[in-house]
Amino acid sequence: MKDRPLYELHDIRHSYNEFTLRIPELIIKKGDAIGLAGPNGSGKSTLMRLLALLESPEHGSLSFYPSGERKSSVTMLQQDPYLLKRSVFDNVCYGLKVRKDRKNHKKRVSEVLEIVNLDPAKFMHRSWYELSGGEAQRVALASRMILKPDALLLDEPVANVDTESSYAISEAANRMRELHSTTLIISSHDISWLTNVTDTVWKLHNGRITGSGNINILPGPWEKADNKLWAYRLPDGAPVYATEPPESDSIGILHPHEIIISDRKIKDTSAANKIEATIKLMVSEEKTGRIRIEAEASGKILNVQITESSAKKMQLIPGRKIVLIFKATSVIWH
Amino acid sequence: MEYLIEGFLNAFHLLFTGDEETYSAVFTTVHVSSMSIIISLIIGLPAGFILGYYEFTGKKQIRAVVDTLLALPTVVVGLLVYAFVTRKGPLGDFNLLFEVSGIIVGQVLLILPIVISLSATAIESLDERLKNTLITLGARGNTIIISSLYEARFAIMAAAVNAYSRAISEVGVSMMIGGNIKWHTRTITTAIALETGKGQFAMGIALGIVLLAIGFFVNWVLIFFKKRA
Repeated sequence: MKDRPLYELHDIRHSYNEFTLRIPELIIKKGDAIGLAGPNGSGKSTLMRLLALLESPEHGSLSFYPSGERKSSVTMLQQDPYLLKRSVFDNVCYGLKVRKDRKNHKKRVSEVLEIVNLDPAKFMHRSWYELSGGEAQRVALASRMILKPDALLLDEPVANVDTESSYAISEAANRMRELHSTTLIISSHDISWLTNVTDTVWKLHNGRITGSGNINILPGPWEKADNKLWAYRLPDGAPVYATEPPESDSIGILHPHEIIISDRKIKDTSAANKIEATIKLMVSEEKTGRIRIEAEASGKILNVQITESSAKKMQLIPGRKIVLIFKATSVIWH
Repeated sequence: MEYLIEGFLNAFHLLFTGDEETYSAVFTTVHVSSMSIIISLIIGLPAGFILGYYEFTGKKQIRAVVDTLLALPTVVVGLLVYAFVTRKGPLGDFNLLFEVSGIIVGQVLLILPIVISLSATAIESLDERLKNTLITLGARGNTIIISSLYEARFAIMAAAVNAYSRAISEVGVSMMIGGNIKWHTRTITTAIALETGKGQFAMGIALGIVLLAIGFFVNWVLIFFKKRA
């Protein structure tokens, strides 16, 4: 059951003004939890809208294999969701009423409100305007969860909410997956949160899925440099050296585990790249057991992974100056 | 000033003693304007929804025409309807002239643009996230229309109140199509015009008070529902 594909995408091209989303091939299985990350305008929301069946791709095929009625099987929570101008109860059971499902509304609404960590007795009869941003987000999530969809798409669900709501949303999403094998597709800028909620994080850049995990994307353009190497200039001018790209605007990918952290510049190394950086954020990743470091290097944030013991040994803390060292061959081409 | 005070006193006397002639005009007004607003809402709400919700060729031009008709003088509507329903007119066989049904037709033409234009504006003002929200919750077709209208219910109620106020206060259509026939097509406004012309201020003032009371009641209902929501 779990290996059954829920989505199959082939040769997708979908444009918005001058932006085009391109996905040659993509399969999402029932029960998967997929994260989508990438900068603004990378195509996350466009992909979400296609997967939510709100739009059809201009080119290529998108097949969706729901277990029941098609319109009941996929639902999406938009960034900054809209609540109907009704009570919390009416908002949550709207989808049931649309489906002419009139059984046990009160009990079912109570159950999902509890899952999103809202006290039913307190919130059930509140009006839409009596909720904080985080509470409104959770009510909107509850109104989708009650439908028990095959696919639940969450577009930036924790962008504008407090820590409590953020935790409640991740817990609720996991409960949905456990209880109903719901496929989760979640976009977020918060990589740490996304990594903890999903199995795989796909990185999008300029309308393409460039890889998974906390990879660093070096979008080019690439210029010819000395020693047969090519250089990409970081926003504040420091060069990143790589081997010859297929094209000057090719996307370079640098995996976090390819980067070595040093507390000083090392001269006796063959690595072409020795970039000064400052630690901005350190996050312990539950799933990998490693420390993910976000380091600002010449105006760009680069992800680096390090073991907990190495971090302790080097006494790394946010604000500390470090040097990121990696070979030109560590940059691979998408 | 004395005649005004006397007029007010007599007006309350007419109202509290249940003067039949006064109440006949009141009932005719309420009957005619209620029928007009019901018919206008049945036609105008779907039309307003289409105009406000969908994009289609000629939408801007239609909108311009509908908005222009908001300022339609009641006597022009009266004249137009008269030309159609007079015995020699294309709708003469329907015997609408000097009948309550004729006034209703005229008032529908008068207030339909108000219902269409204001409900279209109400739909246009809806949050652009609403449509996607409804679709992702499983709504399709008519359910989207009904839910969208429900979301815009306060603005639509305001449109209905606006249109109703125009219907009960108009005099041109009622006078020209209804003919101001006592016990039959005489409405509050035509009665006020007639009685004032005759120098009978008491009945005019009494009917004016009723007209204001109806206007106040209708607006109070709107405020009540808004508060309740």
